[in-house]
Amino acid sequence: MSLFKICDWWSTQCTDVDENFDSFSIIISRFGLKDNEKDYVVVGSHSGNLSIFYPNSNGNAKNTRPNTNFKPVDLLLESKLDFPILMLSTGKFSNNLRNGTKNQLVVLHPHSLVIHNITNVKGLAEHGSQYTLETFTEHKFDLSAFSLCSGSFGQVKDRDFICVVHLNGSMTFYEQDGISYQCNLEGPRSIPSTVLYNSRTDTFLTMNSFWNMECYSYQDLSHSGITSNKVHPIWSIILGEYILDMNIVQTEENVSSVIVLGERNLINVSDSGVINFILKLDYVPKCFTSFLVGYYWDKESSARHITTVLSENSSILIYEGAKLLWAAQHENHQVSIMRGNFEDLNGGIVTLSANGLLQIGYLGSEPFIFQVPQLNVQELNFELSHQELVQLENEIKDSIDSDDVKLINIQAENELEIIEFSISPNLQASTFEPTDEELHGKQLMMCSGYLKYCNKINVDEMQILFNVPSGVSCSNSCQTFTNLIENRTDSMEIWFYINEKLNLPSTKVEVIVSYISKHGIPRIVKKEAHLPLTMFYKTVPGEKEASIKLTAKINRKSNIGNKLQNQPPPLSDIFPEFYRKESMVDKNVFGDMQVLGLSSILWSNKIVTVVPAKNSNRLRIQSNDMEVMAPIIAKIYDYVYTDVTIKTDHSDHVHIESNDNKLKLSTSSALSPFTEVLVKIDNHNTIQDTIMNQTSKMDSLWLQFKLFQRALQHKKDHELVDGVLMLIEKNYDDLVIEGDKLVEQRNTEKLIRNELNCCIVLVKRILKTFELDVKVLNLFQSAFVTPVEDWAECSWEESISPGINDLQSITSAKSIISATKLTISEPTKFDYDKFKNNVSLVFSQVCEQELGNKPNNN
Amino acid sequence: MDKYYEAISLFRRRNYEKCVEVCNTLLQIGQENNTQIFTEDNEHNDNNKFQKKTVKVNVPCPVWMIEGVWQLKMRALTQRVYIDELDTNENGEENEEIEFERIATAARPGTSIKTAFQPRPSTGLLANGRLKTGRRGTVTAGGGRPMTGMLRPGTSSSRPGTGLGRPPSRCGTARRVRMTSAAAFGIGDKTSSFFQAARLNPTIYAERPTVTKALFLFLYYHEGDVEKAYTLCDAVEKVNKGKTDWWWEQQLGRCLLALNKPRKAEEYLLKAKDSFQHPDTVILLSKVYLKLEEPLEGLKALDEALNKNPNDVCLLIHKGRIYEQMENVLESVAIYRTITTLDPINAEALACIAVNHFYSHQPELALLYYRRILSLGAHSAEVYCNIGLCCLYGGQIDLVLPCFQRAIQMAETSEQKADIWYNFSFVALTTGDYTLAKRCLRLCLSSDPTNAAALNNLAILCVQFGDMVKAKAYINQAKTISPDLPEIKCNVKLMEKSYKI
Repeated sequence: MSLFKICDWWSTQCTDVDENFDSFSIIISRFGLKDNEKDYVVVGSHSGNLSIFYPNSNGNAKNTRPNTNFKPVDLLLESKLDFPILMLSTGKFSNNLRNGTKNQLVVLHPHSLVIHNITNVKGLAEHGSQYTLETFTEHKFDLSAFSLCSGSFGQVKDRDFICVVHLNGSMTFYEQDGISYQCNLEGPRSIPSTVLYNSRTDTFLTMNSFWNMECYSYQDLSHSGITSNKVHPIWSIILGEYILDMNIVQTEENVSSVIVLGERNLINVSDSGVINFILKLDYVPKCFTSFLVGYYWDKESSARHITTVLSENSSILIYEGAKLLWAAQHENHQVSIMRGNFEDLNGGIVTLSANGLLQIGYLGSEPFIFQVPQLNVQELNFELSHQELVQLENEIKDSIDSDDVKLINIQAENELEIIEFSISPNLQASTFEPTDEELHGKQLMMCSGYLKYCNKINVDEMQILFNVPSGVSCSNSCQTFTNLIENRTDSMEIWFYINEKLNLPSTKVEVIVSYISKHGIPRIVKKEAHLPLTMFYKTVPGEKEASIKLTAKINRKSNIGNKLQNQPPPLSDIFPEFYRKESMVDKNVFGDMQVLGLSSILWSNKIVTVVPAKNSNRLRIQSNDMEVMAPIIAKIYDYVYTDVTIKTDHSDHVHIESNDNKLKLSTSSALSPFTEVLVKIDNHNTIQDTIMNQTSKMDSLWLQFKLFQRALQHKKDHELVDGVLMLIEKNYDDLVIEGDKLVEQRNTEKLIRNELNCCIVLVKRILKTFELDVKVLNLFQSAFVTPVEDWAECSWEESISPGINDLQSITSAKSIISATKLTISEPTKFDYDKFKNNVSLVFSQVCEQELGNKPNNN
Repeated sequence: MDKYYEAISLFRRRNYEKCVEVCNTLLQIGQENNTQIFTEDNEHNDNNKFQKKTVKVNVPCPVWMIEGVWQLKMRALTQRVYIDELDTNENGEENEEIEFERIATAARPGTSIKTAFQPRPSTGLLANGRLKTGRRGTVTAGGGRPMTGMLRPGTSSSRPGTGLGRPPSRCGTARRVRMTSAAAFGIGDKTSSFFQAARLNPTIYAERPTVTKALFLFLYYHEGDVEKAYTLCDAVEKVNKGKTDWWWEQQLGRCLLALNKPRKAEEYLLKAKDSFQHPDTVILLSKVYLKLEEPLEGLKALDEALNKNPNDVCLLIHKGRIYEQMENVLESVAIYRTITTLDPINAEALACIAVNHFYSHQPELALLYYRRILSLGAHSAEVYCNIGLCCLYGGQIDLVLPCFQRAIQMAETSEQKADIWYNFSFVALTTGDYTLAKRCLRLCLSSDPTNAAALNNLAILCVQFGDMVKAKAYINQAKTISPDLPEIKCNVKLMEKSYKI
């Protein structure tokens, strides 16, 4: 990230195009092959390719196309060696050769070190001269090499020695005249590090595995080769990070600086082990080079110590000391950076990429203009866009607008049609194991249901849920499908069976199909069917008397003429399932007029008797137990409201009576169902209280239990714990007993709740036939919430109490003022008596109204 | 070529993925040859081998190498996901929450019902009034760190210097990024069964000094398991009987700071600072003081270090940030200006100066700085968004749309998108296109459904359109999300009063 970029001066691709280069693969040096020599660039790849370049512009400096500066003659030598080249170095490694000014090239292979001599064979013409590589010496070793370091160790004149660092951190020294020895540094060296030779103090610098920088004297090391003792460092400092590379530059007469490039910091250490500065880098560094600009340190004070760091995103940052001088952008991802003096270009920046692209450039002041990438925004076609917009808006409206629920539902049904949902009236012996233990071993029945549906559109997710009445279970109550293709018809069979010993509030089974379309719009489709009554009731002889009596007055037109029939419909019409069996028909000679007794399959003593009147259009339904009556009343209700309308639809009769008058239920016994409901509510409330007491009891026991346990923990080792243990055991037993009690109470509660539920359903059903204001009726239906449920925070009574209050204020105009006051008042503790009072008031008011309506009717 | 050498070379080239692959094969070989790093006396055996020079190392993976490979692999994995946590705003969970609150309380454009109810602002006066509240998108004023739009990884996608070369997934908070990318990389690593950081027992490793430091960094940066890293520090401390070096003291301080124990951290960091002047120690110390709400102490610590090295940009930036937190804008801008002279390509400093200009009603000057950032090559959604806003206030309306177009095109995270749509809704409000504003706000909500300010503004727009029911729904939603926002409070009150909702 910079305003400037590196200008290209000379570039070429090395022979090896694979990623075989790293920061050790390049050196810049002089060989002393000719007069006025400039720098050579030597590149060696991990695949063994060695190339020597002599970059120059050949007077083409003014060439407008910079890349053309490379000419084939710039490549002096190319050779494929047998082994990978790990590192290169140059120096005077042999004094046997005649030319004292000549440098030799040393190449480090994984298991050998080869010193090459470069010779120039003059050709006949100028362009005929060629360079050859002569192997001068070769040293082999067993341990894999990591890096090498060369220099005039021991401050010898005009001779260079080599030190090879192995992967395990040991070092082998190769001095001239065939002397070589190995030495090990102190401590574990699991990760090798480069070794630097500081000629000023004749010391070696390296890193150990603990990320400390260490300095060893050459004397100690060479001595250890003889005594094979471990060498101790002269000084050591903790750098605290792994280093990528380091470099040494003599900046003053008596000080050299070591520049260390860490993973996050650039550290400058003097060769005496004092940190000069640590520069925290805000980029990820990759490699660096460090050099002195100006004259030599001892002659000019203007010598400047420059460090150039190449970052991961190819920025070249140039520092003088710790101060940033310049930053420039490079185009390619490089692994190595060097500086060299070439013909026509002093101080060229030499970079090498991982796949062998060698570039030499210079810092141009021509700004690198960042070009904002073009936005390819297409010209808007307004008509098309408008259409698209309208379409999108419609889609959005479809999915979020819920004003017209009816329309939405119709649409939903079009999209996902439930073709058929039916429950077969034929029963089979149940094969399912009920969860309620009381039902184990009983002969129970089950019936099959059939669902067929078709999704006309693509559906993302679909869920089919069967909503069954309490006590009944379904073989697979909930199923989810995903990614359905359009126009796919599918069907499934389900089984319904009795699972718990509970009263049946209703025979209605609802299938709810909810789906999310591809547009993400959720919709719901419902359909209902009824379970056969025979699954829950069996015929028994009717009872003469019962505490609860209901009279159903069925206004019916006969098929012939327009007269009101003065007879109730035959029972075989209303309850066809009970008259189907052969045996029954035999028994009931009088067929329809027979009294029908139905007893619950689960409780044989709970009997409902249906008695048709002889000379009027009435049916009497009586029972001692209100909770079993609900489905039967519902059945009669359904018969009247569905059956008759069907009949009238098919025949040509014009007179269809308004629904209100078709069925009339009235109570005809002293014990009205309303009072019975109050009793049930009482029961429910009592059991709630009991459970509350029980849980609080258990809470206190549990608190004690925790207390005892804590006491046990606090006891020291030597103290007696018997007493506490006994208390804990006793307490635990109590807890178990009380817990069992609670479970029992919960079961009772479940049954009571279920009974209450059935009764409320029945009462609601009765009220439906009353001639009440539709508004009041609706209020009634919603105030008494079914199914009855209790929550941890509030019971059913509590939750419906505000509704009852409202209802009461509406049914009795007198108390409106008090009711409005109630809503404002602070939420107080739930007053059950008041609630009960209100409920009975509501009931009595409704009954009064109903009675009051009667004369008008007549 | 030796595999181990290859691994080191790849690491040096920063080719971490390949490096880890090579390490894995090496570890696999080690596993097959039963080379454990926990064998008795291994060092002696090895050294004997080398000293005698007679035994050729036939085993492909000697123990020292396995140790080295482990260290290398851990370092490569750490480096892959390394984000300097000192450079982020993130200071542990708790602090993050505080940060969020700060953002929420910052005023946003057009949030006041009064301004929204007024007809389209046409005079400079009104626009000025709006500007005061309108500092958002670029900035969360009120003491929080300005979201300068392109800076630390904690706040946005790219970090100067390193951000550009990295995959775009690196946004969001540093720790989360680290966790997710680390987890993604862990899949398919066959050797992952050899090390399970979650089950690792630090006390065992504490006695192996060759791997401890790398292991610590691995736990802290790659796994993000500060507590485990802390246990490792502790264990090392115990093994060395209290005579650890400054590095471990610094790491202890780092962990304790992240674990929200600044007082304890201070103790260790001071010790570390006494034995070695590392910039990280100083910065950590300043962060400790910030956490203790003693910013002046933090400044003192930084100044002390700056006296030795007055040109350290890194320390200066932290100083600037502290001043900013202290709401001493003048000082902080002065520091940022010094930084730009030292390091003219420091995008953070440039952005902070730009933000300052923006809020001192000099959008043209701010634009200058943003353009400079853009020409550095750091083009991100936030920068375009900010340039768009500058153009809006500078009156160059024709440039606003292209800027936002680019911003939207470049936005990647839902947070960015929400921000940009929010800001653009403001542009629409300024130009009086309420329908467009409404759509922008809806788009903003679709990227970030919990944007209280957007909900609030949408409510106001609904009032404007006369849809009181929706307005009520929106304002209630806004209220449940951030009940403390003064604008929302005020609006709720106003609506209750005037419209009886």
